Formats: sequence, C-alpha cells, structure tokens
Amino acid sequence: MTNVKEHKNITCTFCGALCDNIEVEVENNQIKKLRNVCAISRKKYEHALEDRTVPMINGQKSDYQSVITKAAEILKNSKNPLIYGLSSTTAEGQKNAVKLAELSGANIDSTSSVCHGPGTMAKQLVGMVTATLGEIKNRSDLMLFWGANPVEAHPNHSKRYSILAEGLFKKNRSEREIIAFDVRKTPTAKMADHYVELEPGKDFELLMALRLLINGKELNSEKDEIAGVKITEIKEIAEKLKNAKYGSIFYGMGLTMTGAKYMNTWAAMSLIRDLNSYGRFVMMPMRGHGNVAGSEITMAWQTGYPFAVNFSRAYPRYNPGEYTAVDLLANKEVDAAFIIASDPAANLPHQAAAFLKEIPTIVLDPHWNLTTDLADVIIPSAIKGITATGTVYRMDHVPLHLRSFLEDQWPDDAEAVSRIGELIENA
Amino acid sequence: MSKLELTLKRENPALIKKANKIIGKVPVEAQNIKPSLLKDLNISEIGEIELLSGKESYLLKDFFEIEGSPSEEIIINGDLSNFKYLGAAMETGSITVNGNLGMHAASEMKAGYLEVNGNVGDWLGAEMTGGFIKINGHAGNYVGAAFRGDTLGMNRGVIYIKGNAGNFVANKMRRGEIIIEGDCGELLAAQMIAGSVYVFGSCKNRVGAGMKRGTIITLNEVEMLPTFNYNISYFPDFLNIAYNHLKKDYGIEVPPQAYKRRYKRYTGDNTELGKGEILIWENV
Repeated sequence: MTNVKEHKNITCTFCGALCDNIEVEVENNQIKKLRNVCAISRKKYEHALEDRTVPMINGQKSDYQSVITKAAEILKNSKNPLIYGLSSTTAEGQKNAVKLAELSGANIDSTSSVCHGPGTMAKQLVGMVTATLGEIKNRSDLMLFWGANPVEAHPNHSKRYSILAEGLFKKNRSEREIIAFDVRKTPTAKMADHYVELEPGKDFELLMALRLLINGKELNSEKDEIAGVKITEIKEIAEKLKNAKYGSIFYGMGLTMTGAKYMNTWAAMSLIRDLNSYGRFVMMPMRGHGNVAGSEITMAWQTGYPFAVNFSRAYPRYNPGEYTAVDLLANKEVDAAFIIASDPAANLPHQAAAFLKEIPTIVLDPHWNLTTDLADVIIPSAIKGITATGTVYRMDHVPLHLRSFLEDQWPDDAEAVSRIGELIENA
Repeated sequence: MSKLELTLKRENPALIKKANKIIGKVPVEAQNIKPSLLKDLNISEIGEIELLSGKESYLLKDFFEIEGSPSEEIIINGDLSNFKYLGAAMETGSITVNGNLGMHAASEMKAGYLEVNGNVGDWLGAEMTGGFIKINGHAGNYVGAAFRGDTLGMNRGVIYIKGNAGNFVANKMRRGEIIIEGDCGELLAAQMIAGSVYVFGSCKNRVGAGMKRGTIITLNEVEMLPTFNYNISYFPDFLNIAYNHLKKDYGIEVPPQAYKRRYKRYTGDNTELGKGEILIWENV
C-alpha cells in the first residue's frame, strides 16, 4: 500500500520572497509532485536530499557528537573567532549563534555584509519608509525597480507581489506603471513601461539630481546628461514620482553594492523621505537568501546591531569594515571560523576565502559546497523548510513559520549551535 | 627630556601561527598606551599595563621591550598594523610610531601629538576634539569621521597626511582642519557639517556629497555632483592667510602654486543646507 501524503501552503526558503503557497506530495519520504514552484525552487526541492554532508574531522568520517565536541574545542581555544553565514538558517539558529558568539567572544557577521548590508547602514542614517508586500500589491500605482532583477532572481515576486499581481485596489498590470533603472536591459526592464539605462556606478548622481528636483530646486548641470540620462528625461521621471499616489521602489544590489555603496541607498532613502511630501512612497530591499532579512532582525533584536558585531569585550560592538567577515579574513585577524549555512569559499573575494584554508574552519551545512571542501570540521544538519521547522523572515520583515514534511537523520542548525554553546558554557 | 621607548617583540601573543609560520595577527587594543597614564608610573608598573588582544587580556611587557624612563613622550618601534585605538582619547604628551599603525589611531583625541612614520588604518582621528596628528605615510578610510551612529565627526584639531587617504575622509566632520598632500578617495567630506579640508593631490568622485557647511580646497579638477552650483572664479585672500597659518603653526609645506591664484568656487550640497564650498585651483 502506498502512503501518499499531500502538504499544502509550504513555504519555499530559497529567496527572500518566501512564497508560502507551495504544494507537495510525499511518498516514502520522497517528493513526488510539486505545485506553484518556480524554476529555481523546483530544483531546490528535487535535489534537497542529495549531496548531503556527513560528520567529518580533518577529512576523516566521524560521528555527530565528536564533530560537535571538536567545534566547541576550536571555538573555545580561539582568541578571535569568526561566526559567519546565518542567512540560510532559521531565526532560532541565528539566535543561538548570537549566544554562541557571546560565549566564545567571537565576531559574528551575516552574508548581509556582502549583500544588502550597505542598505541597512543607510537605514541607520535616515530611516526607511516601507510597507508589507501585501500593501504594495494592493495599492501601489507606480513601481520602480532599481538595480534589481526579480524576474530572474525572485521568479514568483512579480506574480505574487508586484508587476503582475492581482491586488485589492490595483487589479492588474494595466493599473500600474513600472519603471526599471539598470545598467542593462534585464528581463525585468523588458517588462517595464520605461527603462532608464544608467551609466554603471552613477546611481548616486541620478538620485541626488532627482532629490534636487523633488525639493523644487533648479538643476544646474554643465552637461546635458547625468549618469547617462538626459536632463529632460530626469525631469519627466521627477514629475512621475511626484504624481504617484502610492509609489514603491524595489532595490537590489545594483544600488547597494555599486559606486557610492551605502550612500547610494542613503540618497534613495532620502529621496523617498522627500517624496512622502507629495504622496505615499515606500521602499523595499529585494533580499536574496531566504532568511537574510531574519539574520538582521534577529541580530538587531539580540545585540542591537544588524551585522558585523564583535563580542571580544563581552558586550556587542558594531563596525562594518572592521568586524565584517571579508575584512577580518582579508586582514588575517581571525584564528578560527565557524560557517553556518553559507558558502564563503564560493562567494567572498579570493583573498578572504583563501584565509579560511589557513585557519581551523567549521562548517555547519546540510549539503556539500566549496567551503566544506576546505573545512576541518563538517557538521551535517537538517534542511530548513523541508526536514526542519523554524521561523524565517520575508523581505518585508513578515515572519513565517516553516513546517517540515520529510524526515532527516540529523538535528537542525539551531540544535547543533546550541549544543556547541552548551559545551563551551559548561566547560 | 627623558623619553619612554617601546619596541615590539618579534614573538608576541597576537601572532596567529600555523606550523611555526606566522599566518596572521589578532588585533590588539592599545588605548592604555597613553602619555597621561604612563608618565606617573615606574618602568615595572608600565610593563603591567593591560593590553587586550581578541578576547584575551595581556600585559604591555608581553608585547614590548621597555626602555628609557617614564615620560609624556613615547616612542614606539615596530609594525603596529594590528594595533587599534593607539593614542585614543589622549589628552597630553606625544606618541611617535616608527612603523605602520592600525585602526582608530588617536580617535577621540583631546590634545597632544601623534606622529606615524608609516601608514595608518581606518578611522584615524575619528571624533577627535583637539591635538595634532601627522602621518608621514598613507591613511585609510574615514579620517576625522564620526563613528557609526554618531552625528558629529572630528570637532577641532589638525590632521596632516603626507601620503594619500582613503574614502569618506572628513565624513560628518564638525570643525578642525585636515590636510592631505597626496590623493584622496571617494566621498570626501560626505555629510560634512563644518571645518576645512585641503587636498593638494587629486580627489575621486562625489566630493562633498550631502555636505551642509565647510570648505574643501583642492589643487586639481574635481568631477562635481549635480547638486552643486558654480558661483565665481576669484582670488580668495583668506586662503593665503590660511596657508600661512598651516605653515607657521604646523610646519606644513603648502605647494607654492597654491598661493595668490585664481580658484573656482562651487557651493552645495543643494539637497541639504547648501552652504558648503568647494574651491578648485585654476591652472591659468
């Protein structure tokens, strides 16, 4: 007799959009059918139970308790450890990681620092006017995509929350105006009503010019274009922004990680603040990893700071550029690393990633990746949203609870981190 | 006058080693090496001063050979590129470093003198309220800036850098003078509130972004932001007085072509107060 079980409203944790309408049919602990998934999500579910890690110490297979003990020993004996990753684990795992950082006097940083971190730093400077995705879907009549390409990176975002979504007051695509700002004509830009092609790295100049116009001041440029955009076109855009009843800007790493870095987002957030004198205008970062928004929320709630936190003095200190993983590794300032649900060997600059080879590195991850290849200790874990439960935060900071629908032999991230913490605390 | 000389030991607890090879250095927080603290102690007490490295606490004698006698004048030899907060909040005396120095050097300095015969890291003289800093090499980012979350950067004092400086120099600076002989990175004087910055080399993009007041003087062309207005091309007499003051009071060599020449004046940032000025030397 077959034992087919159907699960509805499962949350996919691949990207920050966290679609919570996935339907899964399970038979003998195997996924048989998937509905409402995007192309990326489908692959994630289909290969979830493949390429699983096993407990390993220095390339030799070991048992779970031994790897946990070894990890605790490394962190305890380290003078200045680094805990990095966190964006693909649950809020419970992140909370335990902050406690572990405090117990081991570590630096703790999330992948936010190489992603939307600059946007968060800008938020600390001016604040951000924002809303939930539901409100944007229901009301926004003007949507701007700035340096973001959700059609390829968050495939269901346009259908569920933005361009093509069916809202309460804004029913369909024809009731919304879409403007895309990018350096190349991305698939998102192709779906837009207007595409504004920017000179790479010049977003700041254009945003400042728009701020000037929105504030009713004269734009005196010696040239007839700013950031590759004609002054007449900039004036038209400014008028459109002023006339919007409910505008929204979705921004990606094309804004946060180029040119003036956090000052880009500072300029954009200041523009939004100014635009609220005319109509309602909100802003939303297009968060990449499933729970990267949660990593900032959990860290802020636990330590007061969103990322780049140092615990070597037992109280939290915050300084991006000093306590961020890239800087700590590239400056060779840490003597051990604990990577939680991330793949820095594949994503960080070479100089930073190469240093992971030199120091004792612990990796907690359900799957093999480039970082597990150079790790000294590998701790396997359950997969969040598939074999493990927990809480994750959507890009608009709405928390969603995850359910597990498959069985796993390994405990989840939260438990592994908590067990390491207990060993250090009770040593 | 007597001097206190500290020399960094080749073997010290901050080194990260792998198979007897040095692969890195854990940061050391050295705010306790401060003339006002050391001058009243004897040599053995100086050796017992606490230095923090990573999560551990060590003694000054673990890191340094101590010579000379207790004094307000401290000379430190060695590569201190992993030493942070040296001269932080110093209020008197002088520190001379023969070698590179790490982050937060002389941050929140109140008075005194710091000279570095080498390069320094980020946040040099951040939020200082007085004193004179002279760097004979290059400096990092955020020179004279405000720490994250604070509203005011450097507020009085002078920073003189003979080499180049990084990005965000004079970020949120409130008062004082910064003189850079070499080139300067991006976003010079971003969100500056007041004060003066002289750059004798060239500046990268976005000078004065979001500045309220303050003066930036540069001897090379700058790509202006659209939020700045061109005002006038003139001979600012006050600059000659300012240059003479730098030379007389701080021994700073101002390039001769800077005197009595025509400057272009821009004001901005017009999205903020718009009372900041950028003076650009005209090669005519």
